[in-house]
Amino acid sequence: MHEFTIAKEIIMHLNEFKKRQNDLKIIGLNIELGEFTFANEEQIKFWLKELLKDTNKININIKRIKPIVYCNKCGYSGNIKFSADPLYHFLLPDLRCEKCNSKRIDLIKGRECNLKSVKVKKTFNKKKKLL
Amino acid sequence: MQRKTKIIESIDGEIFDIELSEDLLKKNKEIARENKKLLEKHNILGIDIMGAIGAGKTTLITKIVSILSKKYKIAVLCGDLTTTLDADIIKSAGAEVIQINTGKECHLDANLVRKALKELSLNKIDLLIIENVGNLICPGEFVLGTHKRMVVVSVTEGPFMVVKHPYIFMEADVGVINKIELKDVMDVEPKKLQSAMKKIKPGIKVFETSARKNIGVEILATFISKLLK
Repeated sequence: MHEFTIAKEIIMHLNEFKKRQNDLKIIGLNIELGEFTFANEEQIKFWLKELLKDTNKININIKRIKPIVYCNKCGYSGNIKFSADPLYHFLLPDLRCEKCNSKRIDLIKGRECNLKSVKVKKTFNKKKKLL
Repeated sequence: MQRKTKIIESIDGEIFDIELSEDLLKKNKEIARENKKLLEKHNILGIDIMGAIGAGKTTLITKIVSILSKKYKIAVLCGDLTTTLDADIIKSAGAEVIQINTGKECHLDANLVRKALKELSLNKIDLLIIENVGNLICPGEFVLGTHKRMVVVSVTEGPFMVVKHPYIFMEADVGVINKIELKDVMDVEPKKLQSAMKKIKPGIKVFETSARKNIGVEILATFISKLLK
């Protein structure tokens, strides 16, 4: 359900953007979503389409960000370990350093939930032309 | 009149990208930081307790409150979609309780907690327990400003509850496996749930309890009281 909250937040940012840039028409959204974000890509798209349905069609692009860890013990920075168990249909994340096996690691990428950029089209601005 | 300086500007119909880099959860994180500061100002330890509906969060909190309220002043925020059922139960154990009804939202957020904190006499509290809305997914995304996050699962939820919900355990400092008195009936091995938690979150502190039968609750309460010192 919090995909709806995220979609609402995006709409709020778009409305603010439109207030600032009324001569630009938004035609696309670029969203970054970390793989460890608890949000479903399809549900975000669904809610955005629902909330934006009165406006013109906007292309929604969601980029998934792979998790990256930093080890506070050996300084390793890189991919996270996943363990594959044939019993399950997915890979289990393992928050241990791939190099030294330390537990003292920080997740530095993979929790993003960002409205990265908007694709816009310059529109005819009557006010500007009159001036 | 002809312009002296050449101006380059976008023309009508031109398409381009504008960078925004807006963190969509930023507001929640900011309010959570404020909540944490407020708790620290009043020397209060905050614990966010998450878990599915029926995991036994309310019974566990009630028992923890019964034990710790002899020595500490405790406040509990109860998150639910509706009703004050949990709040009424916990209140009887000796804590100041505030119910947060989220309506249709499946998680608490920092703003709701901030509102509830305004209703508490913070200078009279040592421990704040927040019972999140029963859900093993969404609450993990929304930090509330607590010092520790605890996830409660019960053996009645089956042997795969942890591996099916790995992300919430990545957020947790403490894991509790509840209702262990039913492990044989359910044919679930708590040790396997423990090792799954530790595999996902190395360093997680795990406790096995039966809140109803008072097994392991004293150990968990002692762990919390050590954090209070």
